[in-house]
Amino acid sequence: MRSIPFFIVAPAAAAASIAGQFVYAEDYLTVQQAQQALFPEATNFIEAPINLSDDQRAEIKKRAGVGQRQAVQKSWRAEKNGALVGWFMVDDVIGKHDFITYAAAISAQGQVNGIEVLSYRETHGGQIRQSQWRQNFTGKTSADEFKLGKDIPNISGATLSCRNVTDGVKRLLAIYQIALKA
Amino acid sequence: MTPEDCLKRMRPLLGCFVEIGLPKTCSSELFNAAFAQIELIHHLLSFHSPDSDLTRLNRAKGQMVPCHPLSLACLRLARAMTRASQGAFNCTLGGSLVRTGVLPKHDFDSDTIAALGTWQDIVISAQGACVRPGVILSLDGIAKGFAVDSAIKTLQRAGVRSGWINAGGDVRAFGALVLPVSIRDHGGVLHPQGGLCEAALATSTSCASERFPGVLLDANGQPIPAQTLAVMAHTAWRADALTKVAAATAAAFRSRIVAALGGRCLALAA
Repeated sequence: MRSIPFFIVAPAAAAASIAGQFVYAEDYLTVQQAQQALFPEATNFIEAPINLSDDQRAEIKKRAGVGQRQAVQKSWRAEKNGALVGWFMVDDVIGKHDFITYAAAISAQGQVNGIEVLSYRETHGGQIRQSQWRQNFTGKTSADEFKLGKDIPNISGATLSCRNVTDGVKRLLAIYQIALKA
Repeated sequence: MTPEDCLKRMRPLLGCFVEIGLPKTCSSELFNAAFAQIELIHHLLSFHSPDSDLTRLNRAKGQMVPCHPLSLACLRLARAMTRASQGAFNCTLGGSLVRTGVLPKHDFDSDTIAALGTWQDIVISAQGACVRPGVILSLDGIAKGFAVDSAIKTLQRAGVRSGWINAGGDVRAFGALVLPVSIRDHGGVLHPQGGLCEAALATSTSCASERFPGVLLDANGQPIPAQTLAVMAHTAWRADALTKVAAATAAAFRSRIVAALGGRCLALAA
């Protein structure tokens, strides 16, 4: 039997500069990269923000079960040679512990074709936690084994629910029904 | 190779956030193929979905149900670990989880639901499987790790030499990449560990909350007091399943029993 693995260097600390408001912050894709990832066939993206009236926002809440904070929803028409292939929307969800910007691709028929997280910010729980967090980084120098830049190491821990994003997508689908469906 | 040499993508899947990191030379299609594999396993093994392979098995009242090869592969591992761990990991605890309201009831007959079963209640053939009537399977303790392994296999078949996948804390690094990791305990405190290389790490906490909706039960289906258990192994499915073995085993025997099953228990500083 192969021997059971262990960590290569332990413990590895991360850069001290990030011990600020967020315990974990990661950028994945830019808006443009997400557009290409979600609509590889599209040739053109036309910015088309959706202005929502108070009535429409009330209707969104009724249909999706979650409220629409913003009066203007960021949205793009994805086109291939002038024909509509779908809608690309960028949205934020704010949880008790996290702030997530994500993009959703909604087909011209109103189906969710894909979701990509653009950026993920996890916030601190409290002051005590923060001081313990800071301690984890003391002694880190630029000569250390891992060059982490602004990143925090990957976290293994209790599963953080993605319900806030799936609820957000329900809201975007309600927006499609109310404001975009032809 | 470090994570800085990689591109990263994240999608909401398996009820959590799944992050994939691959060398910068990798195309968008490779990421999509790995995510698609995880999404497929999500659909096959979801307890919540009324038409997943798992739910069809649980509703079959003892009849043989044709299943996708991936469902059968995961079921084989789950049954083998249930057997090898003498029920410390138990994939037949679904009844307990339904009774406590953690998992949906579907149309199960509440009078005949067994709180738990044994590995012998599961029969697996080449094309399908069946479960003794009343026994409810739940693959929560293994499916996320299995999905990580399966997506890594997809990537390796496509020629990707290194990278990592982190499915809500079930993380595995493959190839020459060294992935620095931290473990978050049930109090929210992070414990930096070191570099993960050709290895998997899984962490389970035994206290359910709004933020972390998981729940751990012992071999008798009873909830386990708040603690954080982290296990390393070669594969993610094994690390994932062994966190449940660790949780259900008395601290004095934990390291030895987990090691006998191919994992390493990690001690977290208080």
